[in-house]
Amino acid sequence: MGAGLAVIGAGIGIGLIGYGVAQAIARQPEAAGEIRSQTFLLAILVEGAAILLGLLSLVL
Amino acid sequence: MFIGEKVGKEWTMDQAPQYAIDHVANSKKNIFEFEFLNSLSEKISSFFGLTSDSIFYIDLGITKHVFLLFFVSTIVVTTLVALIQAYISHKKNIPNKFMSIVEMFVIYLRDDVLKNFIGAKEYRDWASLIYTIFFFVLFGNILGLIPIFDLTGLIGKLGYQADMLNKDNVLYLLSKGGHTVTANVNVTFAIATITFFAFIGAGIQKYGFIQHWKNLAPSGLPWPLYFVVVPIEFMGLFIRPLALTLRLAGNMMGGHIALVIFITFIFSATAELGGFAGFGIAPFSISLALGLTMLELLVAVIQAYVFALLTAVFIGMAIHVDH
Repeated sequence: MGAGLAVIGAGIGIGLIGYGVAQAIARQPEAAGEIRSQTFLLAILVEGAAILLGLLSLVL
Repeated sequence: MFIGEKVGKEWTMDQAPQYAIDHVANSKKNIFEFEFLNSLSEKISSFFGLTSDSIFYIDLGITKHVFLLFFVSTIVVTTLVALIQAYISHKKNIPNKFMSIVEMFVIYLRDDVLKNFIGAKEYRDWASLIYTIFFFVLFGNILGLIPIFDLTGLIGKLGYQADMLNKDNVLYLLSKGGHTVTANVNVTFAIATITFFAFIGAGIQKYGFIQHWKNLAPSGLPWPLYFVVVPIEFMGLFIRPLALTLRLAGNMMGGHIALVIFITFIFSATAELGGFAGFGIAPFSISLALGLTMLELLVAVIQAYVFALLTAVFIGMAIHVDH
């Protein structure tokens, strides 16, 4: 139950990031490398919260 | 049918989570019994006035994870350090196959992570730390995915584990076997602690001791906001390594639990529905587990990269306070 909710949140978050990245790279292909490393950072932050909640739901 | 009868006797449905947790958890018993470690731990605990009954009894014995930790460190030192030393001291400097893979990682980290997030001038001071963290975590992650290390559970038979000797079930012993050291929260917390001191040290090195702590309060805010911002920044200091710890351990642990659970589908189906159901579900179960292993291989590299990346980001945040 908790794991499912955590996955929903993370899915929406990472989906939005992916949407933004695809658009940004399409607009400015020469900045792709810089955008990619920023993307990793954001995706990690979103995923971190999801994993934390998933672990909590596993433990409790 | 033979398998069905054999499994059906030993297996019940509620055993599956227990096997998964046993696979991930550190075993309480030590793999090897060393006299000097025991006497050393007794001396240390008696020095602090502790007995084996009290909570903080220090056990220095080599458990499954400690053994694997030594193993990973040995492999990192023998392969990477020796290889790179040989490469540097060699006259011709032609990279061989393995060396070019290592070079690929190193150059990618340098260009994409270190120069971007720490800064083109300062990155050399912290490069060695970040490479060390990256390769240690990477080797720890990948070693857990090599199935042969599950056999370390059988080493317990050679050791002192009296209660394991009674269990002839090979599955039980295998489930006690090796997995990633980085799935242990203690290990990742130790690495995150190094990160914690690294980014505090980076700030102090750049700005001096007092100015570094003053940087917790960004300038140019209306004064009532400082009561909100400073506690948040201060909490952030401790949340960062905690998030690092839980992210790596959670990722590794989750993957391994899912792997074991997928495999135990076979035994559950056999125990509940008979041997033919076990045979029927085995292809699906194994192919799921195979796919998940491939995913875990990807995750192992990504998580090592993420750990190195976040360390670099935190150090960069301590050095460049403005943004």
